[in-house]
Amino acid sequence: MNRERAVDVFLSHITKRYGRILANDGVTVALKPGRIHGLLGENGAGKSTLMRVLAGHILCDEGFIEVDGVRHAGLTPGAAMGLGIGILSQDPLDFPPLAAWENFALGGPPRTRKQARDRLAELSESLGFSLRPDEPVERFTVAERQQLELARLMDADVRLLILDEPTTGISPEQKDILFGILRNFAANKGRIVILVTHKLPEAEELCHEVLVMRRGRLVGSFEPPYDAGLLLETMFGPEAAKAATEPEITGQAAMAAIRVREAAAPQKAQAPALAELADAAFSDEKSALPPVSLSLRPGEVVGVAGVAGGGQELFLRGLAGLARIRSGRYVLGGADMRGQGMAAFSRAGVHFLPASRMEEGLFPGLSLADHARLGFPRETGDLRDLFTRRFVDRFHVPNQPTAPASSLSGGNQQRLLLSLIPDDTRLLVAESPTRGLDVASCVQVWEHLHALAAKGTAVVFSSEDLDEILARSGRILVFFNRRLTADTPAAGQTVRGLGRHMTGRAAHSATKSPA
Amino acid sequence: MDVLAATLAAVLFAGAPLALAALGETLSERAGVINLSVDGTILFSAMTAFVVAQGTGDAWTGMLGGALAGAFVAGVLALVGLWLRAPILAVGFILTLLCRDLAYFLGHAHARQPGPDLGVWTIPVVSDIPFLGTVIGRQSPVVFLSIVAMVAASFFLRRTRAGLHLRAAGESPKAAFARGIPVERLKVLYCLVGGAFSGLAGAAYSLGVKPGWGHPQGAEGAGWIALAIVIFGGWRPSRVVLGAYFFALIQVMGIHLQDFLPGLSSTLFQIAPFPVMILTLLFINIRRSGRFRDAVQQIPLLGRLAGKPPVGAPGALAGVLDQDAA
Repeated sequence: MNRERAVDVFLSHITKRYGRILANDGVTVALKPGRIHGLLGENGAGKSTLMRVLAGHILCDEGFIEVDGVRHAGLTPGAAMGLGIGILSQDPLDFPPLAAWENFALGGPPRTRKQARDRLAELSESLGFSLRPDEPVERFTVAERQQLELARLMDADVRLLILDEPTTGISPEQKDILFGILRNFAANKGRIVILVTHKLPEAEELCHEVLVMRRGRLVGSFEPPYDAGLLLETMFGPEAAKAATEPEITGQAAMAAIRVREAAAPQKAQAPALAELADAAFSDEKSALPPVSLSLRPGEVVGVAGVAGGGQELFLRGLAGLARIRSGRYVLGGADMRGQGMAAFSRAGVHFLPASRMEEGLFPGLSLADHARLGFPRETGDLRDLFTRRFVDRFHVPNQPTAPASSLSGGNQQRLLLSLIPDDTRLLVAESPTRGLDVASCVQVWEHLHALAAKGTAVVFSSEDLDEILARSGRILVFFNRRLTADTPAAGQTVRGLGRHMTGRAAHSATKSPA
Repeated sequence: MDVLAATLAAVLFAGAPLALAALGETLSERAGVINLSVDGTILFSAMTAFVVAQGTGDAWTGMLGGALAGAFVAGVLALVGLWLRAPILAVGFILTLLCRDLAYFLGHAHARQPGPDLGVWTIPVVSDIPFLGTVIGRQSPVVFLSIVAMVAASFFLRRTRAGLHLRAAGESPKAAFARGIPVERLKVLYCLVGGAFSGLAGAAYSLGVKPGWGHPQGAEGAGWIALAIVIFGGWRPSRVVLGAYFFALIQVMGIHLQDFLPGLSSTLFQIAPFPVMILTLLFINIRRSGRFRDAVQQIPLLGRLAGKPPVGAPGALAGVLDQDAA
């Protein structure tokens, strides 16, 4: 195959069903050489499904893919790679315990260890990465794992590069490097990039053309200059777009609103601390944090930022009582919690909202009523009444008490989890509380968390979205390399500034080239 | 000195079939297939190997028969568990019981009859070296087979492309699929290879370590030990084989101690290896306990020794055979 020629890809009437759900509904797209295409849409719009069909990971039920004029009813991953189609998945599809060079070599042409390591070093250098070839990938950061995958795809000489939400879990600087590479890639030899994202600013920054999907269909195609309002309306439908503009687009305005709230409640600063960490060092099976000292006050909303693996995950778990306290003190409401079990934390009013909702938060096989029973063990009255009153009327959980939790959509899972937070919670620890949720659910989550905070609950949450952290919190903690590198009021902070803290370069100039 | 050499020779001899079976299961599990039928496979192929050897008069043809019998049992597991998607752990369990009873039933006519065995190989120069000659110079072929198998499996997994594909399929089947590696085919292949190793182990018992066929044969329970050794050896061929020899060592020690302590019941010596094994494994794996690591980190020298926790199960099996220590 002549890899010098511009690539020409056409998707025709791609339809994919999962049970009764139509993930892709007759999607037809022509991709143009030399361009970076943005593929936008809210969660569940069918973006990833379409891309996985194109990369050969799944077979479509109807439709075909035409590459360089040749029709393919379905592709396998190997066949797609053979045609020069490569995908960088949202969660790195790699082999964590295997060495970097082994990850690099897998699926590629036969190479000796030395050949593979040399080729990896060569590519790393030309792309500006520094990847340790013999280290197992599980010790890499998310950005490094992504870079390794990119190097592998470049080595395979892909002509159509698909990136599925590539900026999740990496810092703004790492994002800039990535976008630079993508621009070069597309400008060269008429190759194509598809950037799957739900973040509008990214698409605006990078893409020559934006395709919008909604409910499995391609509903619009836009060229610059983009009209953000129109794009949002196409993505979410007219009503939801209005709600979406509030937090997502006008983050500055929302931040101002928070500042007003903080200013209106000056007594908070004088209130006695709810929780006090004095050189508290958390550890779990895999890692350990150095000692951390800070105090949390009632009613505070604290956003925790950090690149994936930066240590904020363990910090949140430690705060919630799910990690061991190796040394130091963690005083909560006057009692030292070191060595205490989860039950003691619960009694002290601590509640944890996990990011993996189904795996850690819910019992997939148990009914919604069972969840109510487990969540409110002291409720002796009519359970059905509690369920209707609290779960259905207040939190809009589906009124199906006998349905198993596994039947819930992402948004409803979070609604169920929200209704399980006791109203007298004193410290709520929320791990990425809006990850993967649609706009309406996000709004509901934040309404409830802010309502809790207004009644005196300290809310500590993490997010991969710095805009969300800036918009929603009054105080921000940043972790880098397992250390707390910043503890600052949210007012006056910017995405760039947080990004520098997240990559440990706060002290240096912002222009210094990233490591 | 002579006693020591003889003991070591006995350990190598007694541990060889165990090492073969554990190596086979290691390959199978590294590819993502848990084959719980090892114990039954060993008995079934021990019987097959003996019958074939008796019929043909050639012990090596018997070995081949044993390997094929083992691969056949694994083939049944692959067909039902991998291809037809029945729960593979349950199928493995039942296959164990089925194969054991089938072996006693089919082999009944050949029980307690004389037959060929693999004999002893004398290595020309080595056998004349005083100590080494006793340990390894005059040994059953199954000892050499187990050592060669260990080196080969280690090399294969670590240094070859096919071995890398095997590990990739077992670590992240989804990622391997996305790279065009035929995961399902590899799983079937290494399930069969693992079965063939178990078959060789069975043949090694009936043609070497416990020659002949009968009820009981003497190899009962070896498969379960092999399964445990794989887990505690961290799925690494060299450690797994060391584990097999270690178990053989405590068995041989038990026999020796029986001579020194005649007052104790012989049953005690037969069951002693099991608790000793558990204690040893506890000692090896205590590093995985977070509390233990926290405790020793305060102590200067021990803290260094504690180091990193040992490797866990292949990704595809994580959570099934290997839970995270708290």
